Amino acid sequence: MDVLVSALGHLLTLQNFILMNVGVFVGIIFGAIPGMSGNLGITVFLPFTFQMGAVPALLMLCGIFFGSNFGGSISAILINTPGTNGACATLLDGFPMAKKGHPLKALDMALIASTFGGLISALSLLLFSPQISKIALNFGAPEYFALALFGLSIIASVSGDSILKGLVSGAIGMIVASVGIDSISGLTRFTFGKVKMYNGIKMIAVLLGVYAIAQLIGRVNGNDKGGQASSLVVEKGKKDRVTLAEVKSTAPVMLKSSVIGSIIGAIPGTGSAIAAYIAYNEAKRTAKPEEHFGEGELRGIAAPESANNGATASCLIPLLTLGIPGDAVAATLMGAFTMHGLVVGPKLFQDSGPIIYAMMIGCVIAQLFMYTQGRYLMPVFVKITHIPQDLLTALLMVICCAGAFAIANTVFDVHVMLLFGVIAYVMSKFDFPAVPIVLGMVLGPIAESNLRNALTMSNGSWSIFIKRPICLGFIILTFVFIILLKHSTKKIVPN
Amino acid sequence: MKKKMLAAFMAVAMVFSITACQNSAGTSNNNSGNSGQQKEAYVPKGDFNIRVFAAAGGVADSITRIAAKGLQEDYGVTAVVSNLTGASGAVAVADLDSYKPSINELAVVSMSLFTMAPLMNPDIKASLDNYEIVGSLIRDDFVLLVSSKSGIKNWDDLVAYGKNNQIIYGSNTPGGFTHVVQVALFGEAGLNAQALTSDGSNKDILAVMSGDAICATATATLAKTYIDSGEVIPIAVFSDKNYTGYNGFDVPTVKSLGYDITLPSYNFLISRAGVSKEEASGLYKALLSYRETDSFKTQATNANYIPDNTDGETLRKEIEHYAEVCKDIYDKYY
Repeated sequence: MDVLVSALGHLLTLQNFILMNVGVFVGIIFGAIPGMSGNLGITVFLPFTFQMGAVPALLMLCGIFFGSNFGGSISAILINTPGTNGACATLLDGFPMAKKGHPLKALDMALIASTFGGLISALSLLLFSPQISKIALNFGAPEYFALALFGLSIIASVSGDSILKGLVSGAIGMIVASVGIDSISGLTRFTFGKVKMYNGIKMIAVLLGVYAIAQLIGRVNGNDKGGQASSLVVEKGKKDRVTLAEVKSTAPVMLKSSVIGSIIGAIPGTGSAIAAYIAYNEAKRTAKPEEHFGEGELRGIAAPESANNGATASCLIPLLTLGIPGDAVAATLMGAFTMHGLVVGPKLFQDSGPIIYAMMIGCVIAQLFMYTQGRYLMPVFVKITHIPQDLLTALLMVICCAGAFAIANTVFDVHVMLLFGVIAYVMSKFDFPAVPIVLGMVLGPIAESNLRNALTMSNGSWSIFIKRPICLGFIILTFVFIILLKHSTKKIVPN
Repeated sequence: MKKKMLAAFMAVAMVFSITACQNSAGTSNNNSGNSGQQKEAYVPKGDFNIRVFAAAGGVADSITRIAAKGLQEDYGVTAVVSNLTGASGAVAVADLDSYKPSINELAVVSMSLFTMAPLMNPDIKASLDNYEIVGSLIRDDFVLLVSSKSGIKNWDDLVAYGKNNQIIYGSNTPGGFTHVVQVALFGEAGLNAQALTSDGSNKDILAVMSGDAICATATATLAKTYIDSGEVIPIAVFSDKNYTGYNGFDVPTVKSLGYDITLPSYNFLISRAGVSKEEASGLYKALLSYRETDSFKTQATNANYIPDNTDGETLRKEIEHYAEVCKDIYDKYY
């Protein structure tokens, strides 16, 4: 109790509230611009926090983190280009809904779901950190492999009419992800003697290519297959907002997806993209016949957005309790903790309890600020849809090039983006879906390295995958999902 | 049609402008780098670009940002830190090499770049001869850890365990120093051991805590919080001297256990060769003087950072020595 009182003393200052809002605003902007991730925002703003106290500094940086995850959905919905990895699944229904003339409603749903997921995640961080951290502790190589396998099975449901083509796309993603130094053997793969390729192909550069550049090429050629580049006809007025009835009807999906996001986020090395896809897949699996996923379904936005924001605060759980960063953003935040004298790991709560509790309560409040800012900023963002398509095409090209360059201040990533834009454009001509490429890139390396590590642990015996309960659970889930899918008539129409 | 042409033209122009942005940067130096004729004491001036081989948030990134802040505070210069990760710093120095030699163009790299990395990957042709070492930022020892729940209390216990079981040890990617020292140790001891690899020592320690690995190696600083919490126990250090930085432990060297394996971790600042010694040592003196300030001490205390003051020349000899150590290990065990 004393700790909580002390934490509130640290938290309840005007400076903290202003900085939280600044952080959320910066995060939304960084997330909304393709290529400019929340991680970049945190890295840029980290030096400005050196002179601040630990609590205001961490609150501002966490605000950037949360804001960026919502921001990523803005570009996904409005221009069919995910601003962040976590927003990849959002565009499956977000952009179709915007195309139908409801961009504001789609953004509204994304904001509500993001806030919902963020709140569940922040409360999980505040209330259940010790319990959830035990999940992370029980996640070894076999469990990671089984989770990745389960995630890869989603390819089957996002492949449209041809699972074979989906598998080919997924395989391309996995091959691309294998470029660089093999983490198990230390040897290089597909680097062609280029040191710049040792670090692998950057996910965000591929995303920009596959989603943005491919459709820009389509626009310039005047053949917008699937209507990707159609002009948006925006319906104006209050009726383009999400109604209370719609919030109530999507609440179960948001709750389930938030829990999925919170759990996935707490497992180090997974991240919001996996959470979003799994939640989307689960929402689609349990959809009613009248729900048309892939065509602008509200639940198709609610599920991934709840999940990707659900994975935000919860990814701080292994960081704070075990000293393990859940993803790249958490790794950067770890540096911020360190710079402010907080040694993350098993002794953090013991050594710096009031500061950490202040930050965790602040994470809950930051979600409400995100919602408030989102409500007021949305109409501004929707104005993107008023920009003439030809001008928007050129503008997007500029933004994407700048975004790709900003990944590591090198033109190499711009080249990667353009190359994958051309590849994705050609693939779309032959009806190869794009989503499995992303899934293959995200999950392929996790599956591969953990399969090999698991077999190292078992001295080559495959029985390790059925001896460990969590692992066995995921494997059963994968088979059940595939069997159910086979018997299901529902199909998702990919972008 | 005209609009589409305009859009296509703008796109091409953007790509070229960004390309030019990178290439022209190679000629935009603020200080003439290789004069070699400066007689007056060097004072940092101009804009500094510091590449760091590790991702944002890690130890190397944090200490680089502290150094950059020092330059900004003490000399009013701009110091920009860029994280160019990959291949032990090969990506960062590849970028550095695209610039003319200048004291304003710097990189923070690990010792592995000039010792183990070229052995593991022939495409990495980084040679110490091509760089001027400004000075060390941090030096750390590697410590061998076991779980406190494993029942293993010391090296002899681990050897006894290894006689009946395969030792699964947590380490970074092969070629990383946590892998190198353990491969050498278990090889010398004749124990059957396999690596469980990850992309960070924190994860290696987690594998030990969960029981997936029986032991792991991490830098002494990183391991401290886990040792203080009682989750893991240090049983040996790959150093010349016993490690006494943990409460209640006098960690023996592997040398005292009968294995001559000493390999520290160094992160240090380099520029391209051609920069004058006066400028390099002048810049390092500037960084050393910042280490005396209250601002630095506060940040260092917060970050649990103990700076290393090894100068460029001494460090060069150290690296050359450890390159031979790595070569021996590589020839024997890789």
